[in-house]
Amino acid sequence: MTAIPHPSQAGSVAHEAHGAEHPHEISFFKKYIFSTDHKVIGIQFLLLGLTFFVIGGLEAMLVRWQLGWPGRPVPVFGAFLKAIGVWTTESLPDDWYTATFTMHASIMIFFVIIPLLVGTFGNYLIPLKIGAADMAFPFMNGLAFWSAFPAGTIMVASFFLNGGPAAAGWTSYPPLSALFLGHGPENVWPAFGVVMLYLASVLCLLYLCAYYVTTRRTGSLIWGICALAIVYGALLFTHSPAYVLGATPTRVVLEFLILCGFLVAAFLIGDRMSRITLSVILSAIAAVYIGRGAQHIAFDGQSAWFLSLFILGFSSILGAVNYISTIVKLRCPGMTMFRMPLSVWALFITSILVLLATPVLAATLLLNLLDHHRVSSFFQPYNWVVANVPQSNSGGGYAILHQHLFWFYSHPAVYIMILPAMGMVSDIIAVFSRKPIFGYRPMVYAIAGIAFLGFIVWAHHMFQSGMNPTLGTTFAISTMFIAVPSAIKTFNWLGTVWGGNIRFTAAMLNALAFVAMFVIGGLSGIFMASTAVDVHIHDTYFIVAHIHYVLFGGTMFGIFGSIYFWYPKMFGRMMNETLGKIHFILSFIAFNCTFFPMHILGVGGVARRYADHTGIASFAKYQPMNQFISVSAFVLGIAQLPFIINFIGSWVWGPKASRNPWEATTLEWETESPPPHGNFTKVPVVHHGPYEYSSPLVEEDWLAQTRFVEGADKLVVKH
Amino acid sequence: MILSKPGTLSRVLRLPLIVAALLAPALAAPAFADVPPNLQWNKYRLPPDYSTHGAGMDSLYTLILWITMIVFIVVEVVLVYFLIKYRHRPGQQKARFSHGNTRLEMVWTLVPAVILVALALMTKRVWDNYRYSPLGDDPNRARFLVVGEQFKWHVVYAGPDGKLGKYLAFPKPTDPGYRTMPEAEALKAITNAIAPPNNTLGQDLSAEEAGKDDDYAPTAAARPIVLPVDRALEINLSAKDVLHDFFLPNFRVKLDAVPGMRGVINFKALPNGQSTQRMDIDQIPAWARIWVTYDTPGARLLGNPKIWQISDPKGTGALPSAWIATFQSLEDGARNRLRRRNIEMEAITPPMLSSEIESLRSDLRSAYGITQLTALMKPWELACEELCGAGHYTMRNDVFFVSKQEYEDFMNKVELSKRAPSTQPIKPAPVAAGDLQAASASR
Repeated sequence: MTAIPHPSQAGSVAHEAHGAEHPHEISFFKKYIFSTDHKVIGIQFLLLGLTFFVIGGLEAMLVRWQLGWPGRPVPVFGAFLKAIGVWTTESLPDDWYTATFTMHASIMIFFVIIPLLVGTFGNYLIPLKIGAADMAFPFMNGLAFWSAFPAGTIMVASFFLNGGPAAAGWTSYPPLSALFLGHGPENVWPAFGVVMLYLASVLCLLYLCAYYVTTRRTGSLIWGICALAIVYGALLFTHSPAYVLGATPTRVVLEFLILCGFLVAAFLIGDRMSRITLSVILSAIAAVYIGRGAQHIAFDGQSAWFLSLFILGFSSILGAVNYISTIVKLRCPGMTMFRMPLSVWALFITSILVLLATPVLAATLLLNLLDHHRVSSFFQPYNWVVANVPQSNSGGGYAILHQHLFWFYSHPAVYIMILPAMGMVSDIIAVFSRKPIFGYRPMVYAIAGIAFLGFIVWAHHMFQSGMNPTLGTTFAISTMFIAVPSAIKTFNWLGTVWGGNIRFTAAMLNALAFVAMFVIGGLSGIFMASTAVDVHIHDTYFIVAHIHYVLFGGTMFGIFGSIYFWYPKMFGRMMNETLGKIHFILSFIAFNCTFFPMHILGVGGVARRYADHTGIASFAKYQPMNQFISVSAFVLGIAQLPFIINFIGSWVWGPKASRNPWEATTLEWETESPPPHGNFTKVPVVHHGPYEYSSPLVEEDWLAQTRFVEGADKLVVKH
Repeated sequence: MILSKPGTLSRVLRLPLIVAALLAPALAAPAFADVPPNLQWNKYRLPPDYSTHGAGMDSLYTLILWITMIVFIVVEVVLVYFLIKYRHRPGQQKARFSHGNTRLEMVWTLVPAVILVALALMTKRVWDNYRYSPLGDDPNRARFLVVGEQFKWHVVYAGPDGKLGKYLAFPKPTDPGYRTMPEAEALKAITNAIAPPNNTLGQDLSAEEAGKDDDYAPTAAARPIVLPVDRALEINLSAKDVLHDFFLPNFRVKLDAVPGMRGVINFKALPNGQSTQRMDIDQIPAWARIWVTYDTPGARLLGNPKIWQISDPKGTGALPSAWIATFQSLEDGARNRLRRRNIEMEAITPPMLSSEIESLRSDLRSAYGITQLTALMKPWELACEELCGAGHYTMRNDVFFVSKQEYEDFMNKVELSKRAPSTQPIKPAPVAAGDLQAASASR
């Protein structure tokens, strides 16, 4: 790990280290795959997020198809899945409907928005915007991506598991999430063993990654261990599948310990070759074990879901530690905390949220996973009966405890999913309004306020869950208060636009859409914040409308804007503005046509997560509106095509970008596009705040942070 | 800046593109022919409320709607106005240089804060009136137990004593009666003991007298729930397997049914929420279900769950052919009669059906002299609003509100049917290995 140099000389030291360590022949593998460069890792997260965006989007189309025309065969796709025996009908079967919306939400939240916002822009922007050469812990940064990647793989792989993927909603409330949807005996210990071995195999993968960035002593003992592992693997391989079924707890634990032992041994002793060999052998053993186990053991989609997010939690925590350390320790000379751009502030505070909240999620997932495998009963009640069969682990648990734990993470997570977008949108609006941010410090305090309040509002998701009603009142009051900093931010954006010299680029349009849509998402939140009004709209489409206005209307437009804005810096080429505007206009209109009517459905009481609303008379009358929403959703899906064409096409054919195509003031625009390894050829020195646009002190309408002008740091104009 | 000079393509295409984007949803719509041209969105509002506590919620909703609508319109109008007014014009060099205005920011911090605190306080009053309802102290309140199970609702009415027994006390393999058996056998035996028609809700018969007279129909899951209007109600909620949610949209009642917990809601329905209406038999629409009771001429009790039936008096033997029963509509009755004549369900045409409905009406009139019947003109629905599995959307139940007198009659004018669930383990049937696996699967 890179040592943390003193802040005042951070840039220079880090840069020298980079320059000295790396002669320019870095292997392809190390440069683009297991890279420790924050820019490459950022782009890796970007590609991961966009890939999952396509998967999650297609699932949304499937869900809307079913809701608009329940029971109508899905074109092509349905016939194909029926032919290969995955679906029982050509239309979306009920169990696959629940699975589809569960995976849509899980993928969109955990593998699109969080990687895009925190992973991509956190990685890419933080060091560039504070004038650092790289992250404080570059290797840990790589590890963050390489634990997000297997997590995503497991999530996608769960589609192919026995019984299909998780189908208990993205919240995975027990006791529903404790049910096995597939068939197979409920044999606790082998399943537990498989889980553990899965973890071990992921560790193997991480270890493979670690291998490329560390070097250690050679040893000969390791070859003996390799031989042992081969024998062990062969034994496992030649055994019949009954071996797995007949496994006793002791045996499974022993096997797990043996595999771990191999790993530890490989890590402590051994050279390059031996470690590669051993890693391959161990991965193969784990793969065989999992392959066999998954066929016969109840390792189902739900287990994969828990496991996937558990591993993703590592990624988040590793990233958060890194961002915080980088921002605190690696700012370039002159870059005080209150000279940082709001995007960096937002990412900094978001990282604190991640660091405090994610461990709680990890614990919850683990408890839920154990419950799912009937090992424990944290969330199952004393008299728990499913299909008239008493469950082996029923006893003493409390289902609502899970909701508390889950939302203790997931409510801050909602802010994790919006705060960075707020920061980036502030940057974009300031640049294209050619104006300083209106009330920079209040904006920072508002972010901090939202983050703090974000931790004491979680139970507003549970007003109707059966928890103590007085608790509901407490959380209603704190939830009402969180609207205040949100209002401050909105009005300050308006203030920023006021008196501006506004350029309507694709980036700016998306950023403005963020503001406009966030207003709707925020205001609809007030309805839910009121416990009494929430009685009627809880778990209806009103909630669906609200979350999509915040997460799509808000965050996704923010992400699109940020991609349009920073694409020249990331790839050194300009995106096509016309395609960008087509994408924006189509998305904006189709988005509103899709999600605004959902408010009306929700006020009518229409329940969410229904595969078919026509069965209930008071919901059936909304079917025409559901069809309208579905058509709009398809247009929204098609509207993303110009973006995909633009993203890929500009990478190849886009005009070369200059250093600072937008005439922006912050540090990332001071270096080449894309920045070289080590970011800055000369350590930047900052002289004033980040948003000095239209300053009267200079002739141009922008004053770069590195440009020294007498009195610029003291010039504060209040109107 | 580069982009202050848009490219040729951008300039030429701008207007057509905007127009195309605006028209896109409209152009796409005809591809889906079953979207009706008139969506009639104006009829979609907050459903009417028929509870005593709901008015507070509705006025709070309306208040928040007005506040948010005003804020929304003001913010968006100001935003759009600024965007137009302060757009970049050729030759314009600089924007206004301003870092903010502390006083203005104080205003837009404090004003929302005050409004929101006021909303929070109003919310507390309405919420307490709902969840800590004074109706909970009404000694005359009617008690019910509603239990959710994948994917149906069970209802238990407190009997004449007005008290509910103890439910959801399922046996466990470690209980004295089962302890000696091998585990698989014990599970099978318990499954038998708690599967319909046995003690489905796990009523504890050993403990107390209160439950002895409950109207508890283990075989009749998903039977309609009958509640009195204008009387305090106490709904006890729980669930057997997973979370469910008890939602009556027209009565502003919603609460999760949580396994292992008992949720209580007290509320009172307004008299105009009453489902039943005495009507001339010719006026009753074909879809309306009929409230056949003990005093309907020609009605005989079918047994639990309190279904009365009017049959053909000329029918023979022990099974006179049924015409219509409680909770059946005239259309259901007509269909039954047609089907008894060996007409396939698919072969029934609308004219056939309407003529059969007419003949059912005239038969009722001629056979029993019935000129009026009580129709359930306002059928309410209970929907599950908490994801409970793949069949979540099928988990609906009929709810009928009847007058206080009708409810009294419904509860008391029937001798409770006999039922004898045993507290002793039922002798297990031979266990096939596959059965247990099938039973342990969730669905």
